[in-house]
Amino acid sequence: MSFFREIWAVSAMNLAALPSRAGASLVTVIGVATVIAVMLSLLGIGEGVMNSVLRNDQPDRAVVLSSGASEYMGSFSRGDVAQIAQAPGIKQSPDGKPMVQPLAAVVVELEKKDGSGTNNVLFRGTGAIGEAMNDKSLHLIAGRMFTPGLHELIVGKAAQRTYKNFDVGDTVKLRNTPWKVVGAYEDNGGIDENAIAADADTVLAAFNRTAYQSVGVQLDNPASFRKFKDTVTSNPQLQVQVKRLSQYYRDQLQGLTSLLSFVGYFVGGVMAVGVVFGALNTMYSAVDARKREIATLRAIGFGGTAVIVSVILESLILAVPGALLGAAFAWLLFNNHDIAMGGVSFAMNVTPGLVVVGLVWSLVIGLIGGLAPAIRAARLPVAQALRAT
Amino acid sequence: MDPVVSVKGVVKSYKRGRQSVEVLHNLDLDIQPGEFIALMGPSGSGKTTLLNLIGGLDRPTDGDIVVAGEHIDDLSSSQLAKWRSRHVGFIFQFYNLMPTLSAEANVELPLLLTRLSSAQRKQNVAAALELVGLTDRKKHKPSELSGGQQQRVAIARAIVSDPTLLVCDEPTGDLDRETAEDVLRLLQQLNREHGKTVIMVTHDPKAAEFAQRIVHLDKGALVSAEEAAA
Amino acid sequence: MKYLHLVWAGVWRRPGRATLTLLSIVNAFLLYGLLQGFVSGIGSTVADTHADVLVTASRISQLEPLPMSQLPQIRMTPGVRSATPIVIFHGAFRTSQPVNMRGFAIDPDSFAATNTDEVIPPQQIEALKHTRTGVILPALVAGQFSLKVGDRMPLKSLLWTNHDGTNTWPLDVVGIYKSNPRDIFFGGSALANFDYVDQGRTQSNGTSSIFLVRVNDPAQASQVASRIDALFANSPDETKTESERQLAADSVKQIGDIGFVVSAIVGAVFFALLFSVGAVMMQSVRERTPELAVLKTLGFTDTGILALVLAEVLMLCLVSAAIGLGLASLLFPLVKVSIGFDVKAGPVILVGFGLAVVLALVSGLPPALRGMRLSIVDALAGR
Repeated sequence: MSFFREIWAVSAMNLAALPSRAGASLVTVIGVATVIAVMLSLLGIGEGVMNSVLRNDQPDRAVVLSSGASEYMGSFSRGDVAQIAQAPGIKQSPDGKPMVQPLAAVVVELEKKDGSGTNNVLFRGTGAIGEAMNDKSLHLIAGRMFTPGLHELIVGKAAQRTYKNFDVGDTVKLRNTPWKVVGAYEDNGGIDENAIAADADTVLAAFNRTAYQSVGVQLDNPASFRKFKDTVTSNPQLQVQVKRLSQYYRDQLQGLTSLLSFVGYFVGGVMAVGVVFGALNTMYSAVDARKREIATLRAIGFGGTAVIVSVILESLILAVPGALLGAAFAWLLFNNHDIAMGGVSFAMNVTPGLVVVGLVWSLVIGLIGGLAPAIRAARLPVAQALRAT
Repeated sequence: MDPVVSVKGVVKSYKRGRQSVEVLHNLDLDIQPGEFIALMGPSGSGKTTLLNLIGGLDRPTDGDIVVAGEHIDDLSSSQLAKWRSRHVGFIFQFYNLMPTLSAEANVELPLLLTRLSSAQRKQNVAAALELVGLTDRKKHKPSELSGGQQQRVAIARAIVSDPTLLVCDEPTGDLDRETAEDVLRLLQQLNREHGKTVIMVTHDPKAAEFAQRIVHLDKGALVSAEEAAA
Repeated sequence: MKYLHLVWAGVWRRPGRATLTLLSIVNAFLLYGLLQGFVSGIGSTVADTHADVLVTASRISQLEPLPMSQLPQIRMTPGVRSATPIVIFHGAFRTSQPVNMRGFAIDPDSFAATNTDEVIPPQQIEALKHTRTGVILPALVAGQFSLKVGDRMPLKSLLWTNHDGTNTWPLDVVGIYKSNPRDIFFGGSALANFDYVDQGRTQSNGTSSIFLVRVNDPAQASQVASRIDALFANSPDETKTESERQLAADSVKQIGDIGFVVSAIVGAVFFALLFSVGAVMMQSVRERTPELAVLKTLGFTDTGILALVLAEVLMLCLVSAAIGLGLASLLFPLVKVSIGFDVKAGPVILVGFGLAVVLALVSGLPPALRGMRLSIVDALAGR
């Protein structure tokens, strides 16, 4: 008999016996389901975080920061900005100006609507050019844009949901200065929806700053990044670093996402070890219950390899539905579910990529859980097993 | 002398699906103290059922069973359990020892249900093993003993709490001729030298010859009785 | 317990199966112990804070520094016993990870004044004063990196660029103090010289990250805090002064969700375990039906059999839990070092054993009932 037909015959016998072994088989399915559900949920948070910043990524955007500083601590004078604007590779706005936006970034403490205290929130100072750079994803959903020179601000959708006094028309006190909320914006679900924005110079003046914190740049072409960066960083009067926007976001969230990945895989890994023990139990008892049938098949002439493959196959057939069940559970419960971490809210994302990861893990669990019992099944002393009661 | 076992008008029926099957019909039987009696009959005759009733493993559907003056047919399940531990020692065809315990520990099992101290239990176990001649095998597990030796451990377990009755269900059914005779001789010895009442179910006429009285059952009723050669 | 050997024999009837089950339960309790230990450590910080210590930081954000000019004014505020500047100086040593050491740059003289409960031995502060590049390390960290007094330790700062253009600050170990993992500031933190850092860094010179204030009377703490904040209310550098306890409570709240996540994970694990242990026990009872019947013939009551099976499950679960929790507690010191919080082992272990009992009872009850209800006659006849 051909090898595959052998495997098929032994497997068919094993699988036909599954219903009578429902209880023990369920153990593997449920075990795998819980591991995958937990792991995908945790990893889904990480995906959601990354997704929230990268969904609005533009490959032709760059960020200029002061050397060794974050976006909050940079120091750019008007002269610095002018020098940056002279570098090659920058796109021109319709009225002939280089698309370079000096940005202010301060942190303000806002009180949460639910009374659970306060959070630190980014207050970004931007301008007309900045608006033009973002206009693919960012648009107003209520009210109007702020007027430069006046203490007016616009609030992101998520921030408006979370914090007190941010309805359009409200006045909110930030560091003893009243600011009028003149509009609200959305940004395609991106992370900026957790912030508030106003005119850059107005923000600087209000918070007693004399220099901008960072500079946003729109390149004429993604490939221009290199020459732009080289020119700016080799300028001895500027102590700066230049990053692509996506790189900047990645660096910012590096710590958080690697922590989340670590936790997801660590917890998933420990749980998986436990499930492997359970799967081994299931498969050993399956093999044991069918000692006589397996021995009979081998007495007839079925090869040991066919037995091994069919037992492992059975283990995999239990593991894979478990993974799908767990993934479905994680997806149903958590996909697109808003989660708040450290004051920032974003949606969790159980991606197809994660589901594949889950499937791979389940295959590994099924394989390890089935291998040793499979080998034992293939090595059964046939005569002894035939006599077994 | 009053019989130690008195079975009067006993009926036993089982439910098989929706039907009720009567296995014992209006049976009467008296067993005297110190008797060695064999119950014989074809398969399905109800001999094991009768044995189970006398041993307190089951209750009759109707009728009375009095053992050592007590109406065991009136006892509740947990009362019967207690009664069994004091009055009956069982010996089965397939020995039914705990595979995970040593011979010693197996013999000790019935004594765990008593109030005896650990030292007293040890004493009784040693005596029982001595009687069946297996003192040197006391640490062995059943898997390390032959069929005959296992049955002797089972006998030691059955007598260790000094019960009123020794109830045996095909005790030699799984043993070869020679070993079977050894076991039967041991039962005889317990009966003659120690005055134990032995009730044995068997389908082997040669085994029945070791008893004093043989009672035949067929289709749930007593059909004949005879004095045995022993 | 005269039945102990019987219960034990029942558990180990099939050694392979029992071992696998034991390992999976141990695994679950190890995970529980680590996760719950982590959560308990975070929660325990609040209780162990000082009642007479205030922290003055910028109202704008924790990242905003405060001008040193505020210090003399704070010192003169009624109710203030002493105040000292502290610059955050977290960084990495010997690894590429962003932070693996909490560090603070302090002014030795004024720090000594606030160090009234001598968390740091005064002679070590003196040593720091006399060595510009000095650093005092907590014992846990010194042990982790095998550093002794006299060693050189280059710290890669997270925040500050040295005037040589790098983020690396060479430091010399001048003292090692016995750290209290429960102390927010001085649990696992390295202490360097304020002057060294302030004069060497390229930004925020002349400022301090926070001021640590010691008050005369703990009962007056909140009033003193308000007074300090009132001093700078309309200045460009508004302050927010909170007690150490309040700070701890705030950060705990932020991480509050973690407790929920951990509970969800532990719940999922034990859910799967219920099935796994239940299936194993059910199979064990099914296999042993004849033996259990024999026990009944010997006189064991129905409830006796129920108790026997439950005792087996309990023994299996409790022994496994003990091993798993034991392993977890061996790892608690590691957790301590990594997050800087002390793990409250007691409650974690106690609750763990409680979980083991619940696990045993819930998964063991159906098999135990089955054993209790078996009919002697049917079992012996092989039905």
